[in-house]
Amino acid sequence: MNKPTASHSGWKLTTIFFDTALRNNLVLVQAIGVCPIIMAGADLKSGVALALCTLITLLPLSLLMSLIGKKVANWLQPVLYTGVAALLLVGTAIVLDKWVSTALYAKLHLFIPLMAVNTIVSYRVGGFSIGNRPAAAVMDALAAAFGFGLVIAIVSAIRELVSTNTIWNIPVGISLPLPEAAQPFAAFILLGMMAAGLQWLTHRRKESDDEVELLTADNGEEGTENA
Amino acid sequence: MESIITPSLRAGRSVISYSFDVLIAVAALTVFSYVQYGLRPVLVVLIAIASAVISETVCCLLCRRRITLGDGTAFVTGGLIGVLMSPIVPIYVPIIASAFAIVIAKMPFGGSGRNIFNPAAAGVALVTVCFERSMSAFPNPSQNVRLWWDTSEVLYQNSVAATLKSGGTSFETFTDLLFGSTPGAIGTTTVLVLVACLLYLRFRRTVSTAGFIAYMLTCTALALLFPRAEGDYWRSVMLELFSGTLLFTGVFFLNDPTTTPHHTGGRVAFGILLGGMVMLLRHFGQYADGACFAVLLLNPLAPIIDRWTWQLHRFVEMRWIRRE
Amino acid sequence: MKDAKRGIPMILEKGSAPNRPIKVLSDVPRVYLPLAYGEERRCRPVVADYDTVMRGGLLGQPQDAEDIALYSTVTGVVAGMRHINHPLYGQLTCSVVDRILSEETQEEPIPQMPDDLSPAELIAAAKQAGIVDELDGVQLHAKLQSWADFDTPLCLLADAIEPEPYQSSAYAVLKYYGRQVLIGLRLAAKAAGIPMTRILLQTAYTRIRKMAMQFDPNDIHGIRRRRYPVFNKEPAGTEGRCGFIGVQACLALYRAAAFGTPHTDGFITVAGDALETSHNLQVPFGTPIEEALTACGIGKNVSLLLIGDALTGVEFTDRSLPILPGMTCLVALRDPINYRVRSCIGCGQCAAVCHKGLLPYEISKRFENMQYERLAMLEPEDCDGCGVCTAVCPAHRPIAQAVLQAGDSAGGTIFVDWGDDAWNP
Repeated sequence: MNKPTASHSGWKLTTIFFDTALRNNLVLVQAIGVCPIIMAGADLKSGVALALCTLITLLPLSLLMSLIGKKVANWLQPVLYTGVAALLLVGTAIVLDKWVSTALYAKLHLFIPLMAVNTIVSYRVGGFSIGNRPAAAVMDALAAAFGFGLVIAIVSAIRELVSTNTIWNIPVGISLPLPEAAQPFAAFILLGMMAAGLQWLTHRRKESDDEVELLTADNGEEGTENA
Repeated sequence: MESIITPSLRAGRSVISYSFDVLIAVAALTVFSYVQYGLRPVLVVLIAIASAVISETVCCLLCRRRITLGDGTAFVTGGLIGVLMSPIVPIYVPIIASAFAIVIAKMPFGGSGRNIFNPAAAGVALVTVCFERSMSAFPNPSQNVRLWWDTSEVLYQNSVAATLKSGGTSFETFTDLLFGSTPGAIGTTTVLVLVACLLYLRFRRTVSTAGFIAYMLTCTALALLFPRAEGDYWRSVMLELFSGTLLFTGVFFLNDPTTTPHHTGGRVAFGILLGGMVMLLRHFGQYADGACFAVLLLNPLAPIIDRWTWQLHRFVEMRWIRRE
Repeated sequence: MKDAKRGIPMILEKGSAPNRPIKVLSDVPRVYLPLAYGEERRCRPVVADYDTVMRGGLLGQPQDAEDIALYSTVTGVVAGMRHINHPLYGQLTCSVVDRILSEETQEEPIPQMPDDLSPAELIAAAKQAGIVDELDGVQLHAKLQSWADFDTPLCLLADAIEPEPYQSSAYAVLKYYGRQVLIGLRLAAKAAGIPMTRILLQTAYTRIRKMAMQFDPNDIHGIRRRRYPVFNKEPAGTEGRCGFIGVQACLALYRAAAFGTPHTDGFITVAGDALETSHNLQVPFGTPIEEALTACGIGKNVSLLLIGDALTGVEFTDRSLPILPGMTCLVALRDPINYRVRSCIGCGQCAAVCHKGLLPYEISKRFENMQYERLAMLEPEDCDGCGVCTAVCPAHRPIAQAVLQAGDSAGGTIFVDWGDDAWNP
């Protein structure tokens, strides 16, 4: 699981961002972190809250592990980043409960602690940040949180719109509620559609890239012949 | 040089004849329901078929592919959804079920032959979840229901499976179950016609019965071990086997060529698993009849089961049979 | 076991060919004789252009000493070279011989006593005569030599099984040259040191059963199975250690041993519903297919021409292709096959009829989806290309072709080790 590390080390920051956030989207391509989306991503507020939680966990952790990860023994690394993630999330939960919204916390109280042992953390922090330079690690954490947040925002917005005809608890004016859209299977279907759509886009881009490569290769050959 | 084999002699049948056989079975079930309830079941089945066909056509047009109605699988999907509806179901329910089956469960996977989930089971599962009341309200048997919208004065009755689920007492005799004078969905109550359909499909070699036998034996064993009905064990077995969609699932969903294993050993293994899963969902599930969910849960395992049983078969053949 | 149900029931519609005598087609104007099969079996031409060569005269000397020579099959003038792309044999370099219309006075040669020859002499005679086994296209002397040297079979079988619909050339050869075939078979067994010989027949074919009367019952091993393909050909008590040899090769070996004549003529069934009559023809090798078709009268609507029988035949369009050793059947069909290919519905028919017990639908699906890494464990290389899976497929998919290609590739090039390397740069 933690293998694709080394090949990223020389990449540009923008490449890392686009690769992690879109081309190898955590949820849609690698099927990581599906559980919170399906169970908790039923309305936009929870979705955004979960995305922010992910960002709050990932950003400091990635920085920390890219700085000191190499100096810690292999077996201790998972313990370290899981523990730190738990601490961060406890803080987040307290902030959420006390100062933001108790109702939201009541809805999410199971899923926020679960983020600590989420595969997103172990995959991005354990797999990428350790052994990469701090800037790359931070960029990767941003990208991962962005990719995850994008997907959960889209899914939860659609589910909220269909199930209660509201967005961000504001009615949109139609009245045809389908409460089944809040059930898990609807999220599965949505995720499947979005994954298929992303694959289609990637394929199209790849095909056009291949054509470009072919053209350049042809030009190169001609060049050598001329020379 | 590689040789290219193009047999110019065709010994088999065409895809359409497979679909046609299943449609004949569906028609038989519908006709029997017509005798009991009047024209309404026929209307439901026809609307389900029409919805499936239109959905498939629209999908093909949207994807700019050749329209694949010709192999008849869309008709089969619609027909199976239709006969799994209650005779007094609101008309929009089969429409939604068929459209979901084609648009979500079939076409995104690549159309007929490539779908992972049984489309008909997926459609029925969706409406079971979404319109639970419409799907579990069945009219009294031998009561003519009105053809169009108003079905309010119909006397509702719980199906046998629902009675079993709720732990009530049921008074159906074997003859009632055999001739379908029990409340239930259009095509699932008449055991006699279902068995006739199975025999017809077997005779036409559209289905193989190995998986069906394994499935029924598993269900029988589980019904014997964990009886739910009052009375002796055999009454429990009879009520379990002949109520709800259990038998229907064994005849149609278990023998769907695309979403079940193709190797005989694989079919047997699939039948045993499906029987176990159906009984499990009956005992612990939320709904009176979880056969559709059981089918959907096991469909993705079909290729793996197929491969494993084939490898086991090869291994046994190499090890013990070829050695002599 | 379940083997009895494997394969498809075959309607034996041999037409009128088995009832007619073998028609000898000797007046072909021009023959094409292959000096080289692609890069293999190269012969050096020994006759210059515009020189005359006799029937049975040497035309090409092999470059490899273990190889067989090329003999002219007609009396004529060498008219140059020609390259032919043959659907069965690939790129051929052919020597063209134009036949001279001369009075060929064929003296009946006096037969030697072939029983006196030693095994080594028999193999030498087979090599000298340039005999190619029509069953598998292998040179007979190499086959016999390898049997004699190691892994000698317990039983040698002359394979006259024709389970496919049209072919009847082996039957015709047995009918008219039965004794010679039997002697040839025994000579081959003697050459390879094989103790037992049998002629292999499918006895459901009643005409062959009648014809089998002329042999001792001990010489016949009959198979009562009216299905295609025929497998489990081995008679009881041989432990599966059997060698197979073609009927025509037996006949050619007898002639080579008794008269010293080279293997110049082949027997071929020309059949199909697009012909006026079907015939078994005796033709010189290298005869263009056009000549054989004309001799049987081509009908009007020929939509499909096949080398080989209707099930395993290879489609071709060029009627000037030469008839070569290994071709025993030509089929001309009237109705075009324009089935619409649909996607696989997974009915499992192909797995049910496969006599090797494979999963053809799974193999072809993986091959088409390029999932090569999981292809090998489905053992596609076991396929012998009988074509039954394509014949029964309700979606009319070319399954057999995909399985064969997958089997070809299973041992070779496209199985790059994808492995985990992509993850471990």
